[in-house]
Amino acid sequence: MERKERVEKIKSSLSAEDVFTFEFTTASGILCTVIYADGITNKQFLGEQVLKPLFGYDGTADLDSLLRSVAFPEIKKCKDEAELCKEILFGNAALLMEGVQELVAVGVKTVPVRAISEPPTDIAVRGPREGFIEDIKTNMALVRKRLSCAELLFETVRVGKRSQTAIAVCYLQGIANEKIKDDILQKLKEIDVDVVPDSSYIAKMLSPRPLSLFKQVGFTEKPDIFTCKIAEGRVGIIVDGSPLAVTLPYMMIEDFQSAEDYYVSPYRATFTRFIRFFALIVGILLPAFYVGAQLFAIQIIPEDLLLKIAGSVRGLSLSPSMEMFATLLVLEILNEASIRMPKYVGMVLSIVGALVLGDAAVQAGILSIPTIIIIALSGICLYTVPNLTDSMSVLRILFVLIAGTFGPFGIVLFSLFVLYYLVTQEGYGVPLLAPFAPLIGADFRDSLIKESYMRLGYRPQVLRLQNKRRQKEKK
Amino acid sequence: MKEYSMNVRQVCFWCAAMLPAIKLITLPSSFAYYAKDDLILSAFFNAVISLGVLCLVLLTAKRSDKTFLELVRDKFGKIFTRIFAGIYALFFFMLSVLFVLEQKGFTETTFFDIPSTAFGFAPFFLLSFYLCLRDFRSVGRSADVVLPLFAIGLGLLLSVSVGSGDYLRILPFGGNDFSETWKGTVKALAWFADPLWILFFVGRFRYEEKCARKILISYAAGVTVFLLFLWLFYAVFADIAIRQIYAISRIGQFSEAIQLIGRVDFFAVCMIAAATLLQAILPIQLATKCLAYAVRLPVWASALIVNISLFGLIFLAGNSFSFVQKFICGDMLWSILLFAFALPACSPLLTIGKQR
Repeated sequence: MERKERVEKIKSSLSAEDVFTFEFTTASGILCTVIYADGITNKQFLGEQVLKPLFGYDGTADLDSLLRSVAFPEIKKCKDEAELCKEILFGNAALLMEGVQELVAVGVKTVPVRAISEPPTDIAVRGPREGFIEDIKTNMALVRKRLSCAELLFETVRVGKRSQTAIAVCYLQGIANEKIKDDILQKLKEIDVDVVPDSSYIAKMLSPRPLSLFKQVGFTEKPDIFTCKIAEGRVGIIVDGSPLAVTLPYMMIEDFQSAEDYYVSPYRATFTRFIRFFALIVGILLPAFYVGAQLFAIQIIPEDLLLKIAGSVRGLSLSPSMEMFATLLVLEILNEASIRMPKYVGMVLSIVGALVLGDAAVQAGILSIPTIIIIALSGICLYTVPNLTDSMSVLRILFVLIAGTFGPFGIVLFSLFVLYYLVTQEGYGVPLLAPFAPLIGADFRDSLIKESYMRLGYRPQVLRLQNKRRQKEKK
Repeated sequence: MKEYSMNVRQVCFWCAAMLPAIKLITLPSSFAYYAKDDLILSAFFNAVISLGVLCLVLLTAKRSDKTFLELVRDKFGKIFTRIFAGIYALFFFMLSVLFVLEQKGFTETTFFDIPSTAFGFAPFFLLSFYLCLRDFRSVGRSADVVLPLFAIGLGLLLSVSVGSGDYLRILPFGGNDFSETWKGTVKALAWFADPLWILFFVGRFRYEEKCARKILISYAAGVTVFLLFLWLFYAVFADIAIRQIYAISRIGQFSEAIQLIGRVDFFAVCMIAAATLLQAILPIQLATKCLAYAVRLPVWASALIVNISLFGLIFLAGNSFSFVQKFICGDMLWSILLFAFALPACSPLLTIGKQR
């Protein structure tokens, strides 16, 4: 096929107005055409590194000679026009030359990216402050910078019929469980969606139970955490356009661990992990127990406190469960609004919401002070484990409704139900509640308890890795 | 290679937490009723009988990695095994009535200040139905989680109540009429049907070296905890012990700390209740599985039949726990002796000529 025909074919496939065609002749008279997409192609680079040398080329129409004149390493030969079109849409430039049958794409892609900054989630007082950004190449570089070993491999697949989003599956060869990696790659290849705007889409599709209330995959915005998880033998997934990287397999205990735990003393880390765990339980169950106790088991409240509560709730028109439910609902609304609103409005909102609204509701006899205190405490407690806040706040509302209907007995039953549900959950052969259910003693060293890093000689057993030994242990 | 749904540690945990937990509700007052200050002796006889049968059950586990019903099938054929499973389903159902009624009374007394409506206990059956749909893997893993809960709960309960007892009230030891003490033992056999539960775990966990020793030690530890609780129970309540039907919800309230900071022991009771509920649901799960095997029903259908029947029966029975207890532990005692003790004790006979 002649160059002109090919150009026509490509132009008919890519009729968008941001796709440009540029024709020129080399010094030896070879007609060339460059096709590129405006905005995502680095034109300066294309001009200086590719076109300028070609203008001065005075040899024959031989691809190898032509390419040797171009001072550029990223040259890809495409098998057909369709593949070349894809390359153009990814931001690369197509190069077609008279008398040359091969189709060539030049890697001059450029995308507008923001600077690397500290992520809003996963904030650590000590430790690195770099966060992933929306560009997959930058994110891969951030990982490579920390794991400069030949075993670190990236396998890129494109997902999304229309978005053709690049997704990099990242793992350590010889350490990560091959079956898990293959399963993930297989699942990624089977995904049939239009567009992948964020890694959350991929996370849902890789989840063993996508409809579950509980998280099934690990998320992180920090390359240091991501790297550590990869080094532990997990498989990481970086999605182009998303600053949130995904790690698999996921265990719930991961969310009780923070990056800082590894930078402070193990005693402090263990203490804070227990605090997080305790706070989460209090955050979920405190409102429910308060409602249950008021309605069904007053005996569990100390007498003095009971008198104070009785004084506070006298004259309230709402039942305890409705009062708690309504207040929780308001908390969720405030939370939702404060996240979406601009920062300066958010400040006003928190003052209006927390102070004015709360105080006025108490003054008007709509809400009682103990309820406000309990909701505030519960709200704070849930934020000690930010990655679980979403699911746990739903669980908290369910517990309140159950406590209002069946009292503390309902709380016990529902807790057992949740526990039983969680112990049956597995993803990629790894139980969600490991290392507690099933109990894996060796993995306890970095669970709620955090031992010194020098004693963490082995990677988590539950991941069934190829290479379990991490480092030499110091006693 | 056979994939096992449980492991030895989970069986040990079950022995150390769930099996003693179910005994903490009405059994102490029952022992006190028959054996008075010899209640520990009475319970000790139960423990010895159960330990003896448990040894034989573990011998079965040592010789074969098949489940109890698979062993019966190998020996007597499919038809007989299905009839046998059907009979066991009925037996488990009968035990379920006893344990669930006990739970119902405990729940209504402990978790509700005012008498609850019939509706109050109904969610139990929803949980039970859900658990019946799950396999033995979940049973094992739940033991992993519930053991620490039970340990913390019991530890908290003991720590607040230990100061309220007079520990010499149990003396003189052995002063009670032996026939009454023995009667206490006989009446408590349903709660000591522990070898039967382990028999149905056989073939679902890998028998390893020292496995029997681990399970026996765990079981002995659980029983010891129960015996210590009995001592504490009698030390705290003494002559009024027979009226303290739901002892664990009352035993901590005399503590001075409780008077000051409120009923923190209630949270301990909730934790223990989690373990008792799981053990109370185990016979329902086994009844479901045996029924499904016997009449070749899908598990969900079997679970539905068992739970709806149980729900109906429990609400017809109302608060007649003592009547049901008398019937099952008296008139139906032969069935407990046969299905919970004699047959498990004979289970090694099924493995004659078998080698792992």
